[in-house]
Amino acid sequence: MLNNDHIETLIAREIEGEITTAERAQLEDWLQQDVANRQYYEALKDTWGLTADAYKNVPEPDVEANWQRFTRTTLEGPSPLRVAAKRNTWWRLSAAAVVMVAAAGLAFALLKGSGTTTLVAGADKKEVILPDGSKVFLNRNSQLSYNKNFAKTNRSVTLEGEAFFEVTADAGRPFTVKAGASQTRVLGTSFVIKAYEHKTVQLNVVTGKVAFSGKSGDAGALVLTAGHTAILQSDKAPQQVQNTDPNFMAWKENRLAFRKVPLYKALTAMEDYFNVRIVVTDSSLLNLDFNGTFENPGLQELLEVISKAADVKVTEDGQGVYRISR
Amino acid sequence: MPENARLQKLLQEDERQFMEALFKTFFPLVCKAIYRLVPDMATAEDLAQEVFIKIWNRRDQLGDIYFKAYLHRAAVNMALDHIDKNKRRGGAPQEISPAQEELVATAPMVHVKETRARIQQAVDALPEKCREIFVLSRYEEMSYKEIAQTLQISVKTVENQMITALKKLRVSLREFLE
Repeated sequence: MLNNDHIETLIAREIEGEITTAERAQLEDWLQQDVANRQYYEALKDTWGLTADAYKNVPEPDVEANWQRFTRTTLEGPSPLRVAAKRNTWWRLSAAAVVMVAAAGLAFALLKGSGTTTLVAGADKKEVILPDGSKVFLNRNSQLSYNKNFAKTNRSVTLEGEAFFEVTADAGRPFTVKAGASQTRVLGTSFVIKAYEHKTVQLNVVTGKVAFSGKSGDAGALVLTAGHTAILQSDKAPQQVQNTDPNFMAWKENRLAFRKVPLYKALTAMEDYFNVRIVVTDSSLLNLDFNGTFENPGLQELLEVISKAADVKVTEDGQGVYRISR
Repeated sequence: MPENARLQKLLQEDERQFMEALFKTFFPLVCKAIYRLVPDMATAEDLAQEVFIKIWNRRDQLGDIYFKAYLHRAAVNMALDHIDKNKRRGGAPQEISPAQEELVATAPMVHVKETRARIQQAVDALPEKCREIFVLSRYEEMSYKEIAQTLQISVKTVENQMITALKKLRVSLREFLE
């Protein structure tokens, strides 16, 4: 094979379809010279042919959801006091279901002395509607309390644990959540607060706008808009951070989504979601790419997917501890 | 009425309706073109949104354009800009990791869908510049000259990178080429 560089250029041009007749003749000559030349040429052409379908499986984007997002961010512009969007799927309940949920809310509302109502979610997640019409979805091991003046003179609640709030707009009475050392004052709509005991408080704003402050009160408040996240460590000022966890609402949406994440991140999200521990014995597994979206995921189902995809064994040690090994 | 003429007419009559029709017709095309260059669906969706925001902001100056080609080009440029910005910020490199290359070469083949996924993985695993050029030529159907102009490099470089891409793919996809 002589003058390889030049020949390769000719092959590149032929693939593009921009080869001249003279160049085509040169290429033909070269192909006639040696059977190895022809094999090489055909291998490159076959490779070109093979790659045609590479992106045929690209996931279809959700056009309707993207159009809604576009409408919200661009056509309507950000408006701080818009009533919570109905697009949160878990609120697409029939009226009957909503009534039932409200009743369930009442069933576990405990009246503590001095007129404080406490709503408790133990081993199961709970959905409740507050007296002002705001909706709260409580994660496991979380509780929310408010006093008898709630919805009359104030709208303040205290949270321990994690909850998603969809707050009814009422400009006259701001909605305030106290969680750990933090205060979140709601200027409109929906957000998640995670405030388990002795842990950093984390706030994710889903729609609208909120003010988030620590012990120093409104002076150090951060105003956060949709899509933003902040944390608060007990006596410090709140701090805006990048939300690196795409599954921060997994517990509420009943959905785990992994887009090309290293396996260890997927496992951490699963530990949170299923309230189990997953131990990996072979560290070379930790950085494998993991992909997939799971609606109403089941732990067994997910572990099976992982076991097949990565060709590993999953064993249960008992007491909610799972072990992954080669 | 042909699609483009229908959109032109809507643009004159009702810009909200125009935007909705344009978005719903072409969002998948824009999103997928971006995805081929930036293979992460969440990022691709964000960037596709930006393409349409730019169009909306320029709606008064769109004039007599062919929307499909215009949007396709805007998508490619948006993706290339994103790659450039990421590079300057020292963002995650999109170079091949040895592990990924190995995965392509050794994982057992199951069915067509997986074969395609693996071919895509092999393309995604090309060195960055090489991959950009290959994708623009193979999937965005741009000529070497257009690619050279867009990336501000010579046609010769495009030709060389195309051959480099094919040689690398020939190795990483050898099991499908028997």
